[in-house]
Amino acid sequence: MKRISFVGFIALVALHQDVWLWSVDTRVLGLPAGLFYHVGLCVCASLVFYGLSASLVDGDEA
Amino acid sequence: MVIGVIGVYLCIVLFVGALSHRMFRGTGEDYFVASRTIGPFLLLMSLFGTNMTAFSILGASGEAYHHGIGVFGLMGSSSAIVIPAIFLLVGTRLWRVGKRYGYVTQAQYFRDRYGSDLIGLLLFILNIALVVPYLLIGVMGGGITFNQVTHGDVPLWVGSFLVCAVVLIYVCYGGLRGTAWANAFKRSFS
Repeated sequence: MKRISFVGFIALVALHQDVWLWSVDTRVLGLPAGLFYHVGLCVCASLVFYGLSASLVDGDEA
Repeated sequence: MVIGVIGVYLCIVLFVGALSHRMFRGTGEDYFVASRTIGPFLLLMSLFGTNMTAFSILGASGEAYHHGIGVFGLMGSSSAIVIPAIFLLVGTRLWRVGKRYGYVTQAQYFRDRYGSDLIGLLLFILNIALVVPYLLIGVMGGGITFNQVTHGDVPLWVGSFLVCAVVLIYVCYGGLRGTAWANAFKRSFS
């Protein structure tokens, strides 16, 4: 679980670089595509860190 | 009316800070780290409160107004990655070490870790140098907010002074516990 969370963390950092969305002017569910993308990224971040914190609480090596 | 509401709010914040003083155990560890008794709820509210400052609420909003929604990626989602990462990967370890050796400041840890008083002193100075501009943003933001919500009835300096006074009183009087309680109260309105 801890290893998966670390991989998820690295993926989050990589996906945070959203240069391909800078000039996109379409909307998704009423939100600008870039904003919607980052909302999704925040949700993913909460899942990744939930997994990481759960693994720390479960007694894995901190 | 607005001034009255703000006045009542500030009085409640002061009361909450003062109330926490009743639990004060008279030790440095209790003053600086609340004897390491801050639970998950207060911790969450304190973290939230620490980040929801004038820097975030006024600064990020103004920046987004000028530069568009990309600011959310810069401020919002980057915070959602960096803050939990630092907290979980660094904070939990430092908490464990601090509890074992009785550290209550960052400078104490680094001074002992590297066996150098100079490093502790330099880190102390660096912390102050980095925190002061951040604090000033909060003070200025408080003054601007007071001025705007009262349509200019409260001058900028009065708002800033009030913010400084209230924060200074509950921090000095209640220590970290008072700060955490006041943050929890304030954030319950956010």
